[in-house]
Amino acid sequence: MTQRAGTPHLFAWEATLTNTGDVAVNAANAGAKRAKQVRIARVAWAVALFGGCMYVGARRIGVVPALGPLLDPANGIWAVARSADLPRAMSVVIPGLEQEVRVVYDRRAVPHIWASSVTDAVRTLGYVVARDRLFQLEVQTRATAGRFSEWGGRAVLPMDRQQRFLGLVRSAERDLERLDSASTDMKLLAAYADGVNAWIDGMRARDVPFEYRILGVRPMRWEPLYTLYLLKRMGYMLSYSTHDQVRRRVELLVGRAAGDALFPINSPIQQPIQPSDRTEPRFDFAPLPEPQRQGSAQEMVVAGEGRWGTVEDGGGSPSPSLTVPHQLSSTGGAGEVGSNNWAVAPSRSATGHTMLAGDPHLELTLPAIWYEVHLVVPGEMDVYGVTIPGVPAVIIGFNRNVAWSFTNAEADVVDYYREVLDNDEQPTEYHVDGEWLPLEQRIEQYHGRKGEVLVEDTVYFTHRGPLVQGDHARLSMRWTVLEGTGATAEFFDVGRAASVTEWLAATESYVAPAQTGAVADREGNIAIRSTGHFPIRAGDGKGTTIRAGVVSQHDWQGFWDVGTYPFAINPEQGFLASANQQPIDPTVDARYLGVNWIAPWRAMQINALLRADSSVTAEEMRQMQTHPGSPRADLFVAAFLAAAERVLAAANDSGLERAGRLLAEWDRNYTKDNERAILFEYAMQELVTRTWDELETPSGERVATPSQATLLQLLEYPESVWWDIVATEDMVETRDVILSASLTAALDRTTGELGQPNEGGWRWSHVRRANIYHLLGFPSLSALDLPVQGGPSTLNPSSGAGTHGASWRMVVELGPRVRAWATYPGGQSGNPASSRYDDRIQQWTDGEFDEVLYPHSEADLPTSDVLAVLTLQPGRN
Amino acid sequence: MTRLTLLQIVLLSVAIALATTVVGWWAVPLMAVIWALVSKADERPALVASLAAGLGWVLLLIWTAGEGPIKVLASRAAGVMGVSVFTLVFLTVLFPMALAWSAALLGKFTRNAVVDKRRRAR
Repeated sequence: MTQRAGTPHLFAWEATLTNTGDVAVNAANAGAKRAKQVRIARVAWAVALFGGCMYVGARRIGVVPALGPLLDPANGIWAVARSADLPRAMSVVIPGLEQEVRVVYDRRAVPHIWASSVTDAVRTLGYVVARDRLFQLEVQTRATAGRFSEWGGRAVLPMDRQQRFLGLVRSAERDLERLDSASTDMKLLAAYADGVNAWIDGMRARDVPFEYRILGVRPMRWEPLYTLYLLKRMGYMLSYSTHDQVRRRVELLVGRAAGDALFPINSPIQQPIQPSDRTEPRFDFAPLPEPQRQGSAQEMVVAGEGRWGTVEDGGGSPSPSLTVPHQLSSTGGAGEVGSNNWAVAPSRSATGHTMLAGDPHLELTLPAIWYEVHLVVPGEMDVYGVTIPGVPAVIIGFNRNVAWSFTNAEADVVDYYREVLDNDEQPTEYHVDGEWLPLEQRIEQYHGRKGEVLVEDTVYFTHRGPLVQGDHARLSMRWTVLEGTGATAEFFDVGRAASVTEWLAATESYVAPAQTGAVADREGNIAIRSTGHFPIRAGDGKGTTIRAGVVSQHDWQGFWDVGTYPFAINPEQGFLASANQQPIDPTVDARYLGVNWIAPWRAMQINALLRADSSVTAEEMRQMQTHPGSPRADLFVAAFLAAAERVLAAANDSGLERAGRLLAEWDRNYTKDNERAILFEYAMQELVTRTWDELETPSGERVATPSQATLLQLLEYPESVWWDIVATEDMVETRDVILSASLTAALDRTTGELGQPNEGGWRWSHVRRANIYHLLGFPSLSALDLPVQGGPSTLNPSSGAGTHGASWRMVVELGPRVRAWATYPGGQSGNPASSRYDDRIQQWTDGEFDEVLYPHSEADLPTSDVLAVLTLQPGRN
Repeated sequence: MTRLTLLQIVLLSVAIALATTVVGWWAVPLMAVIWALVSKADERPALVASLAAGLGWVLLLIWTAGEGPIKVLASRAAGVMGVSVFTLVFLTVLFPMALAWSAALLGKFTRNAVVDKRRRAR
């Protein structure tokens, strides 16, 4: 090995390795054979290294994407940074556009779309949404369609299969088939798809979203069907329920009478959406029937073989029944999530203008579920609000005359039927009214990353809906979401309504998921209505049992007439509100609408706050949306303290005395720096665990949790057998014993986990935070551990995991100039490199708003408020 | 390192950066092979190609940094990949270097084989 004169030392090794000329000279001296061996070794080394580099560059290895396209700074993941910000001005040609469309992005990155026709506006909406949220569009589509295996292979198959067995895709396809190609719905769906695809077709390398690069996949083109998928997904998120099946398990454990009382059809606390003649909530409390324990049934539940129980069979007599499927969701609980809306008449507003507030609570994600937009078609439409990416319309928002917002109606729109099949393994027919009817079969294929078929399933459908598999029985599911959700034209008509009356007319045909819409107009009208298809059931009309499918009489008999929906307009009280509570007082209308209603703590709070304020301002409405108080805390704290006092009067208990003193110090607010709220929440958890031990299987799993309105009801009966702990056979516990024990245990737990009070560990923000996860769950793309004001059952309810919350907050004042304030947890851009990805989160956690810009024309927007301008030009198809 | 070599590295890095922008990461082995085929035997084409490829991608990173919030992106991307930002940047530079070096070696072997064959034929 020699180094040539003047050659830098750095180069010596390469010269040795590669300079075949030198090698040839040396070989002449050292021997041709050795030279040949060296040369072969070097070639082999180079080939191996090159092959290795090319392999990791071009091929995905496990979860590691191909490094070449990923790391390429011009076209790979780094390039995403170049598309993070909107260009100040941009012009593109869009096929199918009728006229030029101007899109002006304001300083909040909200696109204001000025189009000359509705289809142009929608086409542009598709384009701008795809530009900001393309990955989200596809994720939502795949989630509904059960097509994640095409990205993730077999690992995600269970998720896909579960989704496909729900029948949402089949339902969406049928909805699309039913649409006339000349209908408004179809035109809107097609225009939106054109807009999305125009963006996809024109994407530069840097525009391909971050997540596609990580996954190593390419965006798929958008089809009109996918919008219907999304509508079905909304239905799934908001109205899918296995309550009937959960209830079956409860009945096996405590008997039917107790089950009916624990999960009642009518809420024990009445603060209905449709105002009754009472101003205060009504407490309809009654003793709970004793549990009828069924030891063998308990064992069967544990074993997953709960085959016996009651099923409505026409005569109402018990008959052998079904298997209760595993993985049932529990019901009730603290009511930790929920949406609010309310409308205030001019008579109660400080400005004399009608006002409306809305904050739908959903799963919090990044990118956020909502996308804020302003759509203008002069003379036809001037609507501002939020759309869900994939829906060609504003869903919640306002126009120049009307503002509206929705809460989930929580109605029971799902029923299950036990079917008798000709063959359990490979059925072809099911039995109804003495006849065998053919089952519709649908083959579901699941594809892998390379397009290969991973698995095939056969999904069966009766005339009621898809067959879902229990452990030992097949249930068919009837669900309004599978029977047509209407489509986008309704949302469009809503956005164009000029009055409350027109708005109500526009929502009459709405099907699912059932929603309670609060609406206000500039003329001073306010209204509220729970809208959607509410089934009329046979027999007692209730939907709480699994019915026998062999009798067609058990089928739904139709749906409620729109004129009988829960409804109120311009009430004397001057306001209307909803918070997912039971809509109608059963003394006014006793028809079955749902069961096990969310405890109306939030409704009580809204009503109390609005009733106490005869000159409401927009600022007060903003503050209400994150109000830290709750009637639940007021009522239960009083019960804990009273019980502790009674117990301490009879015996000394230093732990209880201390716990009671600390709880009494609580101001009953869930502010971020509050240091007593956690003690109360732990006490409530202990109370729930001790009280509902009858609902636990021997393995300790509680099959369902009654509403805390039911728990409050039980507090009225101190000697109820429900207070007795089943496991302590030698003693009988009473209410005060349980409340005191819960409080003491809570103090032990709090100090054990968080240290002594006043040391900082008990701060509410320390224990309860919001967690906004990225759609794929990557922590670095998520916003985690966010301190928020609010707790269980406050108007800003925070769930234990912090993954749900106010997905959009809006206050609108309908004066001569419409003013609105809004925010949501996230940002307009789906690009993680963009400052608009999560720029609103701080504002959201602080409970603050922006005043939105709602210009009449492009000229109305000051230049300083313009972030970017996009001009879309018509092009050839 | 001679001035000529430095100049070669700079010019080749610009060429690789431009080619990467146009055709993607495949440009790196392609340019390296071409460089090895056209360079002289004593010009250490593998090393020059390797350094040029690394420099070319660094230039592209610098350009990207001028065009958008690359720091934010690096932080988020590194988090997703479970590596540090330094590792991500290091990989981004190391990968084209290794690719170019091995490609250029192969190119040079090929070129030398052809030259030898011609020489023997004469």
